[in-house]
Amino acid sequence: MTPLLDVTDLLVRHGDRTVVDRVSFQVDEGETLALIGESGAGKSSTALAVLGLVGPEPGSSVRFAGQELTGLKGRRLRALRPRFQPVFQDPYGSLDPRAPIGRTITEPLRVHGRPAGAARAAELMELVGLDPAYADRLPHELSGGQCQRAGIARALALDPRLLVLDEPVSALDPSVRSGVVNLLTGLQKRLGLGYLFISHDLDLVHHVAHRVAVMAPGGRLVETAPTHELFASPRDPYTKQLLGWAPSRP
Amino acid sequence: MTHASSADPLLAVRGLRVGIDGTEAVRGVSFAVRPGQATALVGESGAGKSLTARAILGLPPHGARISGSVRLDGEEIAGAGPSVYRRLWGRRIAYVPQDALAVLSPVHTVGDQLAAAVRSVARVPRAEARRRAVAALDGVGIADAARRARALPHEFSGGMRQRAVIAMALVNGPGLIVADEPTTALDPRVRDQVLDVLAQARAASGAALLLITHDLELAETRADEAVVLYAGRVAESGPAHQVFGDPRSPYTAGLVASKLPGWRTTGTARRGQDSLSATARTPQAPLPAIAGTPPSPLDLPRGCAFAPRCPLAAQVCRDEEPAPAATDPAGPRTVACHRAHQLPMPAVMLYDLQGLQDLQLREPTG
Ligand code: SF4
Repeated sequence: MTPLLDVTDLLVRHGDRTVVDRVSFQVDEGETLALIGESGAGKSSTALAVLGLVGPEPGSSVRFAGQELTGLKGRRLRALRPRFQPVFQDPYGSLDPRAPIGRTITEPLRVHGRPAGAARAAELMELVGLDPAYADRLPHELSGGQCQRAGIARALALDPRLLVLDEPVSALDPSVRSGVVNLLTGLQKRLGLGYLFISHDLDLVHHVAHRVAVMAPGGRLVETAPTHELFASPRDPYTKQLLGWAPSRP
Repeated sequence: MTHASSADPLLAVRGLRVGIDGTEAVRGVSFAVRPGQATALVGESGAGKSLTARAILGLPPHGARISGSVRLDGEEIAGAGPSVYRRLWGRRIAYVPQDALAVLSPVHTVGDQLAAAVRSVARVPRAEARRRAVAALDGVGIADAARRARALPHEFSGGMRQRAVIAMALVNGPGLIVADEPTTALDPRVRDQVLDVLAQARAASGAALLLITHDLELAETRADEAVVLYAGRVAESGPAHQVFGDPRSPYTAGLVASKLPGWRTTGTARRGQDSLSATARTPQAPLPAIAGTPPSPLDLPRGCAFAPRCPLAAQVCRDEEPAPAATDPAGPRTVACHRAHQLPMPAVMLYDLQGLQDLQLREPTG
C-alpha cells in the first residue's frame, strides 16, 4: 500500500546550517507518527517542509499519496494542499483576532472556492465539540481549549487526509487538555486521518502515537520504532538519554 | 521588628482579594507558607495564581485593587507601596519569573547585575560584591563562574539564565522566594536540572518557596504543600502528596483523573487510580476528562464556580458558593465543596464513566 505521506532524504538548511539532515519516514492512513526530540532539534522545520512552507534542498522527496510535492507549483500544488493541514501550538495566535470563529473555521473553504455557509461551519464545530452557537464569537471570548478546537475545525474544513500537529495541546490548561487529546484520537478513528505529531511530551506521545521517530540535535533521525518498542527498549544512545535511561549531559 | 517562632508562618495570606477593571480575579484566597517550606500555588490560566503572587510581591498590575491581609514575618504588607517593598525586595522576599529576561538587563554582564543586587542591600566594597556574585553563580551549578560572570545574559542558554536568576534571587538571603512558572519555557531535562538547583540552593540557605505553576506534577514532586486555585478561590489545600494522591475536591480529582498515564508507569496501576478500567490505560483510548472550560472572571456562574463542569453538582452548588473548610478538625487539609463528604473513594472515580454509572450519582432529593 502506498503510504499517505512518504518523506525520503529530506534535507533543510537555514543559510549554511543543516536543520533537517536527510530524514526519511512514512505516515499511513489512520496512523500517528510522533516526532520527538529536544527543542531546536529540527522537528518544527520538518513539519514546515512537509507542509511546503519551507523549501527543502534538491534531492529531498515528499510524496503525498504517491504524488511528489517538492517542485510542484501553481494549480497542481493548490489541488493537493487541502489534503494535508496544519494544527499549531498557540490556539490564540493561529486565529484571526478580529474574525468571528465561525468565519475563521470556514476560511479555507472560501480560499478554495467551496461552499462555506453557516451550515458547514456548524457541522465542523459539532465535529470538534464546539457549540455552534459560538460561531459569532471572537477568539478572545473563548478559552484556550475552545480556540484550539476551532483551530482543529479549520484544519478539517477541506476534508484533509493528513494533519501535521505541532505541539497541539502543550499550551492548553490541564483541565481541558485531555478533552482535546480525546478529540484528536477520536477524529482519527472516525475519519481515518494520518497524523504527523510533533511533541516533546513523552507521556503524550506514548498515549497517542502508533510509531515514534526520534530526532537528535542537527536534525538527524536516530531511531524510528513502534511506540511500545521504542519506550520499552530504545536502541540508540540518544533515545536512551532522551528517555532518561542514560545519564544526561551536564 | 517582629519575632516569629519557627511554628509561625513566614507568609500568611488571609482573604486576599485582587480586583482589576471592576472584576475580581482573586476572591478571598487564604493560605500560609512556613519557614523553609515549599508551597505550590496551582491553577490554570485565569485562576488568579499569578495575580496572587504579584500582589504578595508588591508588583500588582496597574490599577489593581488589593484587600485582605498579607503578612510577611508578621508584618502586614497587603497593598503596601514601593517604599515598603523596597525594604523587602531581595532581603526578605525575592522573585523568580518565568522569563529570565524580565529581570535581567540585556546590556550588563550577569556578574555586574548580581554584584549590583548585592550592593543595593549591603554596603560592601565592589570587590566583595563581585566575590559574592561569583559565589552565588557557583552555588547554582554554573561551572567556571568567575569567567561566566563576565558574559551577557543572551550568551547563556535558557537553563543557565534561569540559574542566574535563581542566584540573583538568593544572593541577599531572603526568607521567601516567589517563583512564577520558573521552568515552563525550558526543555524537560533542563527543567529538572534547574529545579534540582533551586531545591539545593534553598536547602543551603533555608529559604521558603512559593511556587506558582499550572503543572500538577511539578507541584506534587517539588512542593511540601499545595494550594489549588479555581476561578479565584482556593478549591483545596494541604500536604501536596495528599492533595494529589487523594484529592478531596471534585476539581482536583478531575485534574488528577485526566492526567496522561505516564509512559514509565503504564501497565502498573497508578496510585489512586486503581478503579480506572484497564482500557483507560490503553494507548489512544479516551482519557477521563473534565467537561467544559474554566469560567472567565467576567462571567462567573452563580454558586460554586466549578458547578457547570462538576459531575457531583447539586442544587445547593448552584445556589451557594462553598467556603473552604477543614476536612477533619485536627488535619492540615481544607476543601471548598458542599459535597466533599459524599465523594467516592478514590475521588478520581468521579471521572470514570463506568464508575459514575455504578455509583449512580444522583442529586440528593429533599
Ligand atoms: S460544591 Fe458542588 S459543584 Fe462545587 S465542587 Fe463541590 S460538588 Fe462540585
